[in-house]
Amino acid sequence: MPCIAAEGLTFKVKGKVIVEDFSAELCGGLNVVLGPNGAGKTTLLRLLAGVLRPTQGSVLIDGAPPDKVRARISYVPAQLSLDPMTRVVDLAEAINYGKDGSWRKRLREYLSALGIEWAAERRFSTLSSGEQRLATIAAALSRGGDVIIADEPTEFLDVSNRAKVFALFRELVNKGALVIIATHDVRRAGQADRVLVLSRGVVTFAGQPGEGLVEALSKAYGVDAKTLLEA
Amino acid sequence: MIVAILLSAYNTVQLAQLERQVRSVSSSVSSLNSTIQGVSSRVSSLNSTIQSSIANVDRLSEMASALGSELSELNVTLSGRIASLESQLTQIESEVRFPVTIVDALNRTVVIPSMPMRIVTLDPAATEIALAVGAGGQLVAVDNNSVLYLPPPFNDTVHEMVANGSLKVISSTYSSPDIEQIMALSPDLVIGTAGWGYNNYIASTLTSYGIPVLLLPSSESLEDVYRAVIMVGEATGHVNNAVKLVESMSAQITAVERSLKNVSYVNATVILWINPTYVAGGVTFINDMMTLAGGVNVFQNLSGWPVISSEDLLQANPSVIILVSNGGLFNASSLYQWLNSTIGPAYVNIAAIKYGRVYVIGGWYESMISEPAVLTPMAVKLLAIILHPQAFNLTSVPQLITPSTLSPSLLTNQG
Amino acid sequence: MRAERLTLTLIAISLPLSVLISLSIGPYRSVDFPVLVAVLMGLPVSRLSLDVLTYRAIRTLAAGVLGAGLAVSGSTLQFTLRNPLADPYLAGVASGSLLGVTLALLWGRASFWDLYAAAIAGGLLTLLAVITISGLAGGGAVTLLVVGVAFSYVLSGLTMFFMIMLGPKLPGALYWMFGSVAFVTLPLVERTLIILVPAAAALAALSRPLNSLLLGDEVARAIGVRVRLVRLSSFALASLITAALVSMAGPVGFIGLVAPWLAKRSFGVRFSTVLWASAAMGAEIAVLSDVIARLILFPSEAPLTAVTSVFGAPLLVYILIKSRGE
Repeated sequence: MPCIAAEGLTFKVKGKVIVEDFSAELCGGLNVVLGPNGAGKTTLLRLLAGVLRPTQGSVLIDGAPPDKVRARISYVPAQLSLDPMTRVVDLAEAINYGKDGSWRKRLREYLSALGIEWAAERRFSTLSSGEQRLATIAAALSRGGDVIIADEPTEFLDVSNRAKVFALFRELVNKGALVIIATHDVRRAGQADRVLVLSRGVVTFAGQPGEGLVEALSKAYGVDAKTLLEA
Repeated sequence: MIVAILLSAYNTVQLAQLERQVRSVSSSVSSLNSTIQGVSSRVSSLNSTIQSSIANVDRLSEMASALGSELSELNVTLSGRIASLESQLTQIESEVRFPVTIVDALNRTVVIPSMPMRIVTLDPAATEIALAVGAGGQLVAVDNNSVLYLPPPFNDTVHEMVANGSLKVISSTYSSPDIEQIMALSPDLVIGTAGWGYNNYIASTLTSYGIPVLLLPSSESLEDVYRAVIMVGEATGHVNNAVKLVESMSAQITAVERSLKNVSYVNATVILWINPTYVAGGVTFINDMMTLAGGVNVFQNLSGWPVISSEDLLQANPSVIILVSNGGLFNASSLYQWLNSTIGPAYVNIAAIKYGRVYVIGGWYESMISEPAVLTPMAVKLLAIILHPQAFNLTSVPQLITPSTLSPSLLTNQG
Repeated sequence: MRAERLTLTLIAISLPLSVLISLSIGPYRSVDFPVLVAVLMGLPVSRLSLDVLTYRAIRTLAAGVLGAGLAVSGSTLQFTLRNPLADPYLAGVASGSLLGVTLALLWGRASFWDLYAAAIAGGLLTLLAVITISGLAGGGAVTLLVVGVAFSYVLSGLTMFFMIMLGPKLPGALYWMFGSVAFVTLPLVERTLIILVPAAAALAALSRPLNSLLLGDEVARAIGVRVRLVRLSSFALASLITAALVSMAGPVGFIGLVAPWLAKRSFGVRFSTVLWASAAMGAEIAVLSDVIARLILFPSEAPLTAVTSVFGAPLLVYILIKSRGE
């Protein structure tokens, strides 16, 4: 079970603080990061994946910095603007830079798990936005890492597809992966092993979903969170 | 003097060889002489036969016709001998001179192994010079512009040759050159002016197929024209003609200079296009010709073909303005219109306009002024007549100067 | 898969076919297909026919090299700048070459090799300037694009300024504006290949990291791609190829834009495949365009760029429309 240890992680741009002094240790499990727009979720995930260098602080994955263990990290970005002719296999091949050819098999497995096995050779521009998102997830996962960091994976997806995605993440966690997801889908919070609530760059809640979560969410979003959870 | 310098390239050994050959020709002529003497004696013997039988008129007339047929036989023999002598002379001339190695305008070494009989010219200047040194019979093709833009008498020669099929026309090397067309003619020499149209590229491509391409210096001075003439003469086996041509051109220009001995220089400008207005600047051929014609180019401090504004013209204040009509596109009023629309009525203060000395050049005189080649002395004389009519005993010069308003014969008379 | 196999077969048949067509067609009608067959079979033909065929062969070779090179350059730039509308002339290299040629003509140098040297010098200096300035400003894809385009405009403006001063020497520079393979000699092709082949080989070696740039800079960095190094070196190699080609035959447009699109359409967005596929397609388009250039104004020739633009633009539009519809 991989562990990510963040110590005093801070990110500033032109004096403005995006993420402030984030310290946590996450070992395995399905971790969900919640928070309103502009809270710093994307930046936090980028810092954890080693895509961004922190202004201060450090990130270690099983004791090693992210750039030393790239092969283990699968990062799923929120948006990708691709050349209109890009096919799903092309994306997967590009993501698997530095790896051998076993990704092809993994891609087909994940596409299958998400119900779009037919999409392998298809161009992204011919898929619906939901299918594009599923394909992107499958491609990123084909990297075969055990640290999976996904930014808004369930965007554009309908209810059943969201369920499929979460089910897949749960399966990966059961096989020993560490999964960190940033999402707006507050209702899924109940399915997480751990929830972090981010508000203006600061963690206001970290722990198992329960009572304190509802309060933290209400404060973060500025509305009565109970209604969000029930809706 | 220029001629002497150029002639110094000649091989005196070759000249000596020519002398020897000429001597052998001389002896052929003497043997011809003796044949004629033989005939003479036959005529005398016939005469005595007639005198001895004076009463026999029929026999006399019989003998007279026998004499007549002998004379025509002789004529045929003589003509045949003369023709063979002429071809021997040409061959001698060529054997003496070929193979020829020439360093052309772009410092390329061009080797012509034997007298070229399938010459292709790439532009009007090259065609003109080739015809002028007497290589017309060796041409197989000229370019399209040579058919359209040569001055007389060259245009007549070209049209005639095209009409009777002895000359082919290739597409213009200025706008749409075609390598295959040229190759298809199997030329043994290609002549063009360096830097004109695509000539330089044509040269570099054709030489890789073993076709000698001679690039002539583009006329930027009188020396360039003389060099070009001598190069073509050497390359085509007509050195004598080339030398004579250069001498004659030089003499004509000297004659013009003599006529201008005591005149004071006149400020002038030659305008090539209106709006944008291009004038001939310094370091151009027109500039040189203007100087020879007793003029001072008011724009000689600008080099090449600069674009000027009406203010520049007002400032430069030339006493004579010469405008090239470009096939009738421009005339004096085009100039006035442009000036008026830009600097207003002040333009009448320009000396040339104030004193009515604006001249427009049209007809084939235009190409003579812009790309003179062999007709340079005529162009110089034309400019001289415009600038100093009184030096040539003319009271005035027409405003529109074309071959019909100012006779070409005026331009060729010596002095 | 089916589309890929179909395209491969198509290329394998049509490329030799276009070469044969190019060798059989020309203003000198007597040298036609039967003559070509005779030569290939080893039968004797006239010296003139051999010369004309040699001329056409060199020309066809030049067109093929031109098309392949432009396609390689265009593909690389489309991948490295993440811009499907990138073309080989983005770095302002063609404008630099033309400026070099114009200045050389003004200074009285007119021989072909002089002008070739001036063209290469102009192109390379421009490339150096663009890379240096972009590097100082961050070296990102957008920066390279903007600096390159800015140089294009500035240098073109300067060139126009100097061209007016050329006067009657102007046609010497026009060859470098219109683009043509009519005057390419074998030594010239050889010199171009000396630059082209190593550069293309280097790009092939960079295939995997270059391919991963399509993920965007941050994801690429996350998976270990040295983004800045790969981008600058591929940009430089692609523009070097462009400089060599422009110096050989002048600027010929559209092939560098269309060939990568055609390749991507059949084989997907995968740099190692697109590299050679677009090269093959680019070579073919160039050879056929040259044939059209010879025929359209028969017996005169049309400028090559005119043909590629007039036929290339509708082709591009057609590709775009067809791909959106699927």
